[in-house]
Amino acid sequence: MNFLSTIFNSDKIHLTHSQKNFIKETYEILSIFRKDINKIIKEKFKSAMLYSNNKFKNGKIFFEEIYKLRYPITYKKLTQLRKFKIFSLEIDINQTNIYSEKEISEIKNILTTL
Amino acid sequence: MSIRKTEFISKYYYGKEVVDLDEFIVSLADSCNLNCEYCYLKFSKTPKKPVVYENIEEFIKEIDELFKNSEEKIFYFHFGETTDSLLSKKHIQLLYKFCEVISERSKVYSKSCFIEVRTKTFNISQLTKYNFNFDNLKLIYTTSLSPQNIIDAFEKKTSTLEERISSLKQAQSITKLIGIRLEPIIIYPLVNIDYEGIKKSVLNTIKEYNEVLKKVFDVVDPKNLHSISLSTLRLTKKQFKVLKEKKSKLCFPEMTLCIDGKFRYSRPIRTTIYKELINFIKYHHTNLLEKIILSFEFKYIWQDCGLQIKTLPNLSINVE
Repeated sequence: MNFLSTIFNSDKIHLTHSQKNFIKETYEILSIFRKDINKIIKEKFKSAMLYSNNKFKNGKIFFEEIYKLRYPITYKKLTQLRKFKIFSLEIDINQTNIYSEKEISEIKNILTTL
Repeated sequence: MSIRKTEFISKYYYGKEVVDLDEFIVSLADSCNLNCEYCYLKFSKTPKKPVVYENIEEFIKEIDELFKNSEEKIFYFHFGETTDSLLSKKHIQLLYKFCEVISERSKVYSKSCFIEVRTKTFNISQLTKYNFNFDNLKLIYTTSLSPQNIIDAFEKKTSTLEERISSLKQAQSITKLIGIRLEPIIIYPLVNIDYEGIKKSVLNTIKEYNEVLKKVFDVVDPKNLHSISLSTLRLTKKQFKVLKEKKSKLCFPEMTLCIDGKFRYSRPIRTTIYKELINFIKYHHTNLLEKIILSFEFKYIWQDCGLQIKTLPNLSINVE
């Protein structure tokens, strides 16, 4: 996990404490299933560093890439749900009164299919 | 003789916003030596070795209190939560004694009781040594069913899938009533960590569990089925942490922390699995739809799957 220290200590990206914990946990979980996960994470880090000269923007890009790596399905669904201002998949859409029937149908389709 | 110092009977609390199936846990024994990798017992304060409690006089007091203070007519008791119900001869002997008590007291208070025994053993023949034909009481034999590759990976000390299905077949002439428990449904193996890999893993899982259901339907008469329970894998934070450290393949990437503090597969995964299994069951036996429950799930997941919320006592109302 030494490569993570290199990433976390880089002056080219900024990551919060909780983001670092998330990235570390992602590495721990995904390494159970992929032996080359450190290589994948390093590639994403390299791409993020080249994004801009702004370490905050680079950090945001990198974190989003790791989030997508960890939760590919959730990431896709949340992206689709952004237009409805929905930020969690575990919501009871029937309890809200702000969406039309057509919107509710679309939201349910996003939430309940792969 | 082991003495239970806390209550034998407790109302099952499922967790924040989880649908309450309205059952009571009876802890006639604690702990289990089957050592399933995901079992919550390994992460709770239970004795290291299985213990059976014989201070039945305390149980009699508790059951009296429960029946006296409740207007409910139907009670559902689960004997397989804190241990495997048929783990040993002692467990079964005590089960019989507890059932005797429940039957007797339920006659006094005019209650109808359903007793769920749940096992991953192949000890069903031991049940035939006793006569479980009690008044006011019906025994429901259930077994947790998993594809054989899941059993080989995570339930190594338990009976095989073939044995469990055989036990369901036999149970129909012993207890009459049986239940199917696909719990926990585990996605394994993971094909790949990317979107397509996870999707393929989920579809493979559905196929495997459909095969299990088919094998069950080949030997079981639907009229003997009390209930079919579906529930995907849940892990507490502690379980998740420990399994991650052990590099267990139970730690699936797309697992998120839900409001009740447990990790579950993400919602699209869960609902896809449940809906496909429900469709498979409906395809084979349309009338079984009303007997399907989701265990440890939220109301919106039941609604996602087109299921009416129901409790275990609800399912027991029209049972003869």
